Amino acid sequence: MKTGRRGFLGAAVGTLGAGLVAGCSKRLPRYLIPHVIPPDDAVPGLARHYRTICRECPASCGVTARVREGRVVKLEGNPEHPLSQGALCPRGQATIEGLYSPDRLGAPHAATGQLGWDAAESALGSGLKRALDAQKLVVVLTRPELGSVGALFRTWLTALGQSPSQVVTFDPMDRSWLREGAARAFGAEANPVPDIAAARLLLSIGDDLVEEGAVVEQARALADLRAAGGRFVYLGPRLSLTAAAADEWLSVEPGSEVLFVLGLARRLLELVGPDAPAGIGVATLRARLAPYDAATVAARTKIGAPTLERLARDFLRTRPSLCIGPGRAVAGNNAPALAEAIYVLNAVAGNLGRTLRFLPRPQGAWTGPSMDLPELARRAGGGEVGALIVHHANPHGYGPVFAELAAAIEKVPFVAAFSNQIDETGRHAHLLLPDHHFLETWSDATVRDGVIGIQQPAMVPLLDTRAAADELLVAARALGKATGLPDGAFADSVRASFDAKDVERGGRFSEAAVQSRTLADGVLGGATATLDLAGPADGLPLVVTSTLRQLDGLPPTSALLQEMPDPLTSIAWGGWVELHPTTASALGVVEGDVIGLEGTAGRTELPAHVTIGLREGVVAVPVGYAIPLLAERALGFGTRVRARKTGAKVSPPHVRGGQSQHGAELSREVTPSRRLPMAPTLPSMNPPVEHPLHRWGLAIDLDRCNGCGACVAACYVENNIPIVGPEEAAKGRDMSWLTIQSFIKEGGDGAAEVSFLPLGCQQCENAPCETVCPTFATYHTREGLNAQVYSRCVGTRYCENNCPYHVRRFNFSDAKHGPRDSLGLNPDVTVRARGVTEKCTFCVQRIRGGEEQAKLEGRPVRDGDIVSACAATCPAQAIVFGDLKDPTSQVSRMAKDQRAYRLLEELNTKPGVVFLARRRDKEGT
Amino acid sequence: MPARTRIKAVLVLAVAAMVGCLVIATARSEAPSTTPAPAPSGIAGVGDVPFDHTIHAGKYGIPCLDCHAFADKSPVAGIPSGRKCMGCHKFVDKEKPAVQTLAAHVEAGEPLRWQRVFSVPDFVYFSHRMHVRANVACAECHGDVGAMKTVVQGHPFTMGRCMGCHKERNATHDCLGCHK
Repeated sequence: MKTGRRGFLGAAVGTLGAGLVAGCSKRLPRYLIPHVIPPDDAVPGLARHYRTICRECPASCGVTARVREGRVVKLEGNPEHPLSQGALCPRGQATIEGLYSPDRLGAPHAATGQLGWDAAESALGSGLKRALDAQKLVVVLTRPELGSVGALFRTWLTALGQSPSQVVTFDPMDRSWLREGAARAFGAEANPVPDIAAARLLLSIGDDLVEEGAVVEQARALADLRAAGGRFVYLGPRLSLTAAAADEWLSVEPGSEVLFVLGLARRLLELVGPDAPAGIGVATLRARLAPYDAATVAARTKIGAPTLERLARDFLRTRPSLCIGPGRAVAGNNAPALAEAIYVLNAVAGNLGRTLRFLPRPQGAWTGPSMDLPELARRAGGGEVGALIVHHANPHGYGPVFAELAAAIEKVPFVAAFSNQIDETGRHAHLLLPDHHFLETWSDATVRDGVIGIQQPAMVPLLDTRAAADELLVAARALGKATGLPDGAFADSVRASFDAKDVERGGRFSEAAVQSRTLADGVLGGATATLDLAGPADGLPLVVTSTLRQLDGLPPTSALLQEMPDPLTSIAWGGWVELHPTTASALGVVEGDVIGLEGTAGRTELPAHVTIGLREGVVAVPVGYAIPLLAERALGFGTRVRARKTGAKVSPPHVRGGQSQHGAELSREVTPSRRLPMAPTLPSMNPPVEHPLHRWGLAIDLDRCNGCGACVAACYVENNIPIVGPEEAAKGRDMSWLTIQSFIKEGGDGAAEVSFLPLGCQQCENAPCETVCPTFATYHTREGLNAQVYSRCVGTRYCENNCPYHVRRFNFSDAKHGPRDSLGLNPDVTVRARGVTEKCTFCVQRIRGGEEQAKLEGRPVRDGDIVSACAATCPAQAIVFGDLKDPTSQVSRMAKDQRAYRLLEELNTKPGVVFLARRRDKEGT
Repeated sequence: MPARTRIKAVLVLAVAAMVGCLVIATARSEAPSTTPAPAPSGIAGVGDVPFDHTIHAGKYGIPCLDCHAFADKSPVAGIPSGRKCMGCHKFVDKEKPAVQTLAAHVEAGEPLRWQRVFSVPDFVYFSHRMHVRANVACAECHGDVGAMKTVVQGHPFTMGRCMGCHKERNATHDCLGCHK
């Protein structure tokens, strides 16, 4: 009997393995359980796609939900929806986490605890009955519902004998000053509809296109403007993501933006002379703009007169131009006056009716009167409201900002809240009713005239939830009130109002009927508002920054969004306060010092981040973390805060790398006068690599990229990337396969400049990681991928150390995916174990799927068949995936661009990722 | 006990332990590794409906794809639902007690629970449809189930076995062809 070394080892492993298998047996289900009655068209193992809309923010972009075995595993943008055109923001990508969140409300709750639906329904009925019997008002407080659900609320109130005006919309991020400014300039409220992509010169007055509003549509338009050679100038106190995308960042004394815009309008009016656009009342305008001469404006805005002159000449020379804003970063109490000034500048530049048009009324279908939040607060506080239905609204979450409304709500004798989780307002409700998640029910949203998105369920409700609309109808029926709606579920009536083609497309889309406006007689006649800041007089102005993580103005609850570092500061998990180095040294503060901030109503403590991306003499805090410092009804600029060093210190919560390129020119730029140097041709000792069929590659256009991080979020969801939590992340153990590196430097004239670099595996041909792997777990495939075979990896981390790009990640602990753990993982991607190195695979599961499909259809793979998750979701369409061997593919064409370069070319790694250098035109040539 | 004897005793014990290990290991390596503990198959319903492949696939020669209907359409072959069974058993052998139990389960809306026999690890991507399309007979991996009263995995699903066939047929040798 002879046992060789192999046999012995094999047997030893086999014995061990038997134990392990027994230990792991719970991982594979023992039973296979088919449907009782299988759906006619469902094929197990294959994904189904449903078009619906995303309700994470009021923008309501169109999405396509990918469903595997009855569970939504990923969202993509709906390519046919005009807003999304196939893309989706990071917030939309993180939706999956909320869907499977263990915090989701799964049963009705009352003050006494959990109760059944029958009891909840009778509680709702009796609460409403008491209000009606007492002749008190019944009011619905809802998130923006611009469609069937909003209409149902009004029908329902009418049936109850109430006025349909008692549907109150709660939209904390609403930018009402844009409409109020229009009322001042044009004599009637209207919503501005800027055509950003059509402009060749764009001036944003603190308007953060990339971070607030319909971000997907806006980011794409901004990228289109830049790609067409347009110039973008941003004016605001902070270098936001949007400002980083600009050719030039300017800042003025906080609050003096209005003077700058009026000064610009005055100079432009002088320059155009007799060519001034017709119908803008030149004589009146000239008289009213007279006080804003260059010297006065320069003195008060602290910006040089030459800059104003240069910009005015830019506006004169470049047509069409566009000025947008004001955004939250500059919108203090003088925001309507600033908006008016912006409309006047556009009128003088001849943009009205061209790049700036208006929708005649607030978006959505309801044209009648509607109660607003102050009126609701007054009437509820005065005891007039007998019952309040809260529908996905959380005023209590906004602290001092909606304190008056929150206090008034607590006086209402009966509050029933429909929600997906127990939020702050829900805690004050008498009855808490779990609504379906938006991926589980029917609805629709008219995002603007002509664009109706259909919300259809992509999966069966996970929990014992019920549609809010149905519950209201049940209550009306129980009270004997006829709503005129059919008896069945509300969902059926929504479904019946669209034909099957619309549902398949995801909505009904046509061109919006926008209008042109002319200036009213009273334009600029009102007092030019000066900015009044609330809070301590010796404090510093507080700049409230919008971020994609906090589209609703609240701190993010999603683990994914918190773990993804903020692209500008590289800070993950938690808030921070930004200070200019001068301000910081005046306070004696360095990076990581905990700062105590004190506003009018409250105080908070946050670690300091010292950056040149902020004006001197102000502090900046992300909106969600600024809430305790804010004043009533001012979710934006408008308060001062006192900043003080507390003495405590936290290790800088940065994730991955610094913000300096150390002269390496990783993220490159070209200017009108400077092109890229030629790539070096270097000899290689490695044998040439053959790619007989495909060479998969990625092209990233840094000119289009704005650093929003949608690609990072998409990568997390698609590839089951674990979330490590704040402690591990601070040690640099985050597992992100793709990171947004941001580099900040001082430009020539003192203003800071930021450049971004989305960095994942470069899929090198001469890969330094491959030569050092002792187990051949990483190797180069014949299709150009730098493969990582997890089951071969023993975790030496040699590859990680030898990778010049630092893109390989090591699993220090077993994977945690947060809420997605049990249900929401992508079944096409394995979950990696502890002790294994992982990295970007170019979404190999998608490549495999695309190749399999092509084979089944008996044809070659076409360009566009296979799209990696990052490329699919990019709102700015900066990332393109494809075959570098196919000379006609888009990625090949981009690789031949004059701006194309590869990262660290001097190392001769021959990456499969191509970057296109960013264009920057600082002076406006 | 003097120190020398103690060391001797320890050495003897150590050697004995090593030999013991080797004997056990050798015995294991000699044992036929082709048949893991037979797993019973066809316990359908809530465990009380016996299913016999020798009758369905063997005696009546019902093609595999009739019940495992997705094997040529999807990465997974699929397992039949109770309704599928009743498609025939509404008419065939409906007086048999097992069929009556089955009918009762389906009537009550209770899903069947099939015993899992074959599986590949989580990190392996295996597509039934690509193999069916390449004319790989079901029996090449699953064995002649028509002759098995209780279906067992006739051989281990190792990478070596996959690669043997892939080499023979000149199918993909790329790790990423199957590893996900």
